[in-house]
Amino acid sequence: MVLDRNQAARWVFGSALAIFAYRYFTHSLVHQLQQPLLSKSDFDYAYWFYHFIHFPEVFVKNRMGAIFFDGALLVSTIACFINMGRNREVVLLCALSWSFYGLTYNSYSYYHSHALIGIMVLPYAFLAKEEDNFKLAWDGFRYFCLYIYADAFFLKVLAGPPVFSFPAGLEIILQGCMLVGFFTRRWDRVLFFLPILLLSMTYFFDDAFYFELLILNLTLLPFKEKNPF
Amino acid sequence: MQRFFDRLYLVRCFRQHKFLFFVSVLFVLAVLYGHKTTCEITPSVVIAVDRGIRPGEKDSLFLITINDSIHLRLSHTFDEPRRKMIYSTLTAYHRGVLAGYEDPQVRAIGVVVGRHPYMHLLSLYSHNTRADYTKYLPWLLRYLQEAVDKKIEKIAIALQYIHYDDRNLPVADSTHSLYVFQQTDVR
Repeated sequence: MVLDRNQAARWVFGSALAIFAYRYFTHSLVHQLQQPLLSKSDFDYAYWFYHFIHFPEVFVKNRMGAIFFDGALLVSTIACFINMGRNREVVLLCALSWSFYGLTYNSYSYYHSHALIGIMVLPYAFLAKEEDNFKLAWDGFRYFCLYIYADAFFLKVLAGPPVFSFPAGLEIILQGCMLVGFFTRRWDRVLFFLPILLLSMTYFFDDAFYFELLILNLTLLPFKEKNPF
Repeated sequence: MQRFFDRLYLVRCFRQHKFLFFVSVLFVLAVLYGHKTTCEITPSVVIAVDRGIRPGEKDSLFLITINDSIHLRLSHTFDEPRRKMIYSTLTAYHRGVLAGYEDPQVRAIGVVVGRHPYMHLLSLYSHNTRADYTKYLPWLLRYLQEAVDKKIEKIAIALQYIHYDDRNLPVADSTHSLYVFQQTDVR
């Protein structure tokens, strides 16, 4: 499959709608949290800022605010899906809503999961006006995707389980293979499938659900116009 | 060499879009800070390494009994968001209770702010209050009613101590009752 900007928008915001539905059925949308109390900020300044601006008081701990927030999240995502992310104001609303949703869920579930990080950042690419700037931003998110797996690879090689074990060893090797993407795009079609395999393995062997992170895989698909490399 | 230099992402950003260059540099700095201090700044993630379960290792887990009859069982995988809302917050609550209804994060955050006093203002609301802990059990019941079953009127929470056998399966050693909360307690 070869993407252009419109198709990329359809896939990103379509995936966002799928994540919204998954979150609805697992009772984790903001209005379903029943005005939660205990939050985890850790030493993450983004979460400190989130609480500092009193976002939870307005949109999390207030039932009407929470319903309004989830409504804005859904409507802006549907609008971006329909108009393929061409209205920058709506894209900004959608991107901010997903960022704040991620901060809210991670904060009040008392667990800073990385599963939502893709949807928290990827919609910002569609804020670019010019096609060239969009491609540059999209390219940046491609490196972000590669970074996540490469970082896990290095930390696990240094401190994790032995590489010659199953399934942990194979997971580490799959993460290490993503390093190839920093040097060439020729293998992107292969790299596209590695996180799918990796996250399926973590699902079946480690009891961990990280499939929402796969939204970043879209950045590994080639673009229609000729690539500079 | 020049061609290689021209290909670098930061170089292309610098030439084409200064704001994106600024954001990318910020991201790189946040990643470096995160790796140096192990404190990540979202979205500059620092992946934590889970060393996994080892045979014979001891652990503990919470058991929730609903209406004196059913043990709450949620899937480890598909139900992850709902599970985290219940069990992760329960772990935090129990730690807070053991600390005398104080947020254990307060002291650690105080140490960080001591080193970086300019962060004091930002840190003001980054921890839980005593009232958050005292209202937790009514919230948990409300959430269970919303997320699991509306008919839930009473919850009993116990801590089960376990060890892992040779196949890494949990084996119960002992169970200690911790908290009981029922609907009438709110009225």
